[in-house]
Amino acid sequence: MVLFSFDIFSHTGLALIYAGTLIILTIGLNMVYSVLKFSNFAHAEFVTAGMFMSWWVLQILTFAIPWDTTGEHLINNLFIQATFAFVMVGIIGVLGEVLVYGRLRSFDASSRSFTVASIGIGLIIRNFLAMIFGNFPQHGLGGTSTPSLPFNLNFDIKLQFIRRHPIFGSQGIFITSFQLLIIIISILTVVVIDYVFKKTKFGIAMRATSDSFELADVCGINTKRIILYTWFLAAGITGMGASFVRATQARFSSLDGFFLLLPIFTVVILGGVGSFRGGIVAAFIIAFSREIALIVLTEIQKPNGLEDTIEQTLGFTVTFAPAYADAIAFVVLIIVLLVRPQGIYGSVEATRARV
Amino acid sequence: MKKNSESVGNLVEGRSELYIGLALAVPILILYLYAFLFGIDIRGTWIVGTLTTIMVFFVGAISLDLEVGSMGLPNFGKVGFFAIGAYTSTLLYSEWGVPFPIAVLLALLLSAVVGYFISIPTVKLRADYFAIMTIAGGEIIRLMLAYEKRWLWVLSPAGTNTQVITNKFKIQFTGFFDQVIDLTPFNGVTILIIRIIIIPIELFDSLLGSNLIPAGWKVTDFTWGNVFLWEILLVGVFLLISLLTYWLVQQIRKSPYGRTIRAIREDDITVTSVGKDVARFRWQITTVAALLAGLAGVMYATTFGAFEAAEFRPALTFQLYMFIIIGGLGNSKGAFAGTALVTMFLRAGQVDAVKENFSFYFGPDTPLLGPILEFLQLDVFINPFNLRFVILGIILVLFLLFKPAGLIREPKTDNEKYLKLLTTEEREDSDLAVSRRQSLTERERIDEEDKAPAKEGA
Repeated sequence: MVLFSFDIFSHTGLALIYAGTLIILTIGLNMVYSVLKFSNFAHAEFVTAGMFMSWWVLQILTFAIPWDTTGEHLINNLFIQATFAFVMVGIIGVLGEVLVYGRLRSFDASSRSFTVASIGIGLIIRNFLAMIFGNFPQHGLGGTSTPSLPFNLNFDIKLQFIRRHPIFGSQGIFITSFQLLIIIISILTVVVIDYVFKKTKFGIAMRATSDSFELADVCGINTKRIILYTWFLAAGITGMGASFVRATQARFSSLDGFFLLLPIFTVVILGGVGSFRGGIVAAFIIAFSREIALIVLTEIQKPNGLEDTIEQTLGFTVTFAPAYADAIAFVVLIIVLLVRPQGIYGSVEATRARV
Repeated sequence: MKKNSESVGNLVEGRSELYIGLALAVPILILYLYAFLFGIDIRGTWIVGTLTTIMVFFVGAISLDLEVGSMGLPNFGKVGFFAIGAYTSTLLYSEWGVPFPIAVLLALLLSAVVGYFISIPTVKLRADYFAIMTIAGGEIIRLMLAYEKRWLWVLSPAGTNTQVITNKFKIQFTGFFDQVIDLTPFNGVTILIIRIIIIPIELFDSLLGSNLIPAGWKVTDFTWGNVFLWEILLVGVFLLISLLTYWLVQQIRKSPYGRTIRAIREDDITVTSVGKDVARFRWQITTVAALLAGLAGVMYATTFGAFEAAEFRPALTFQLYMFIIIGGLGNSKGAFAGTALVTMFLRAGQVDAVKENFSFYFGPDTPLLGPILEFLQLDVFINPFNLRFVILGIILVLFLLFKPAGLIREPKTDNEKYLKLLTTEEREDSDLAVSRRQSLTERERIDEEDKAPAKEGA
């Protein structure tokens, strides 16, 4: 009898992809959180906007460039899509700062006002996108195609090694070259941003601004400009990441960003606000714990699994739905906030002054 | 002289609030009236539905306002207590046969207990962490409600287990009071009023050639339709509940207890330094607010009959935030104003006549913009379903920017009662201190405090 017949390689692949997604989408929220000190719920809509923008540029290019063998790499090109999403979503972020957040800051609004304003901005962006592009995927517009790459790295080791393995099942590592590329780009982006934050003059100015606006102003740093750059970078990287995420998914909708919001928040807080490397570790923890929970819950729910055993021996049913795996991120979030609110690498004082 | 200028200042401020209120309320009322006249056949029921919905969300908004406005705890998981109240009362009553009042009491008790246990560890957190934690807690509650098959799913008439829960209270309640009340006697009076309303719309139609008034619609087509007696009774009961809630919250706010929680909102360290246990006040208010949210959940279940876990997403909490921010934080009248206006706006946007007449399509066939839109591959469909949320978001942001106090501002605490206890000299001193403190900015005050000892030395 095989106790666990789950497919360890494909689950690892899925967890890696999820971790890559979280890593790249977390950077923007982490920047905003550490520099401007409020929870930006509109981040979810930056993700949505990035998905729509990358899809939009694909539509425009399909229309503008004749589709033949020479145009193929130009039309469905990941890097064009990512750049376009970066710029457009970055502009959205800067607009939000200029029109709303900057004004709120000028009269010292509380962080609750900022958060509620971010909800309002999120509502505007999401519904505005839905009006322009349609409510995906209800209107049947949601199909996307994987961008073509000039190279192919697909891992096809399943045939040789583990086809009929008694424990590991019949699948190989289910990870395409495209997904691998996304994971690599995510980690590279974190490394670059971390370097920028720690070593360059711009990053130092940013950190000074995050410590105290007034002190940074006194030191001759143009804090307004630094904040604008922060928004452009944060929103832009999120949009870029979202364009990658869209390309890995079969379909996308205007609610996708919202579903990713809480896992992203969890990663930021678990990794530590202001620590980008902590974000990588946290993303892997979240992704793998989700995948493990999924495996365990599925095993429990199988016929003659733990759920049936409990029902037969104790006489009542307890449901272990695989969908509870989604709650893992929230449970981790709550435990982290209660036990170690500053996160793995963070040093920010998260709790109130103890009263 | 000084007093005079102050009162003028108050008057001007009051007027600007009135103007903003009118600028918001008049278009919404016109839209609602439009939907009411041309989009609805069963008008009596629709009005009753609007009233009950407003009262459900009013109780929810008050509960949120008590926590956010008075206490300063940004709870984003309110929807979880909504769900607990709705599920507990419905399942106990409709599935397990517990009498309705006991089911309601148990639901309220359960949401208060859950609120208490959630608040104990969380009230120590910083405000933004508290916000994220509560939103996560609400999502966990929703997921459990959605997937706990054995206890929380019910048998549908088709014989399968389903996530959709049906509250049978209204159906069974209907059995007792199912007299139909015919509203036709009111038609004559209403038609007279409608004639006056319709003239400007007709003028507008003839000028622009639009078809705001559907073809073939005559004033005499107007009918109120029928209303069941139990619907009116339900409105009455809900009104009673929301008035009671309002009274309770007002009592909390007026009492010394209410002053303490407002002081905690402003500056918790000072309150701690005068010997108050801030954490205790926080969990008490969170528990009371959870109980009220549970009550709103019970009302929600009774009103909407069938519901499922997917309805209790954070979006519902965000909607409650909209109500209280637009209406005004820390004040129940404001919560009512915000709830009534936004609910009417959202309901009017769902009506077919509004959907048809306020939709615009810009595609490649559009005269001027056509080629550009074709190049950009855009089919812009401005539809009320999405547009109403865009407008709401804009209104919310505008209020935060230009009117953070909301439509109705929080009443100031009346200190006169306590100042009377002082002697005249003490009174003068305190007046002087207050006026000096108010006239100076923070920086000036610090400067002055720095200068003071130097003066004495000289």
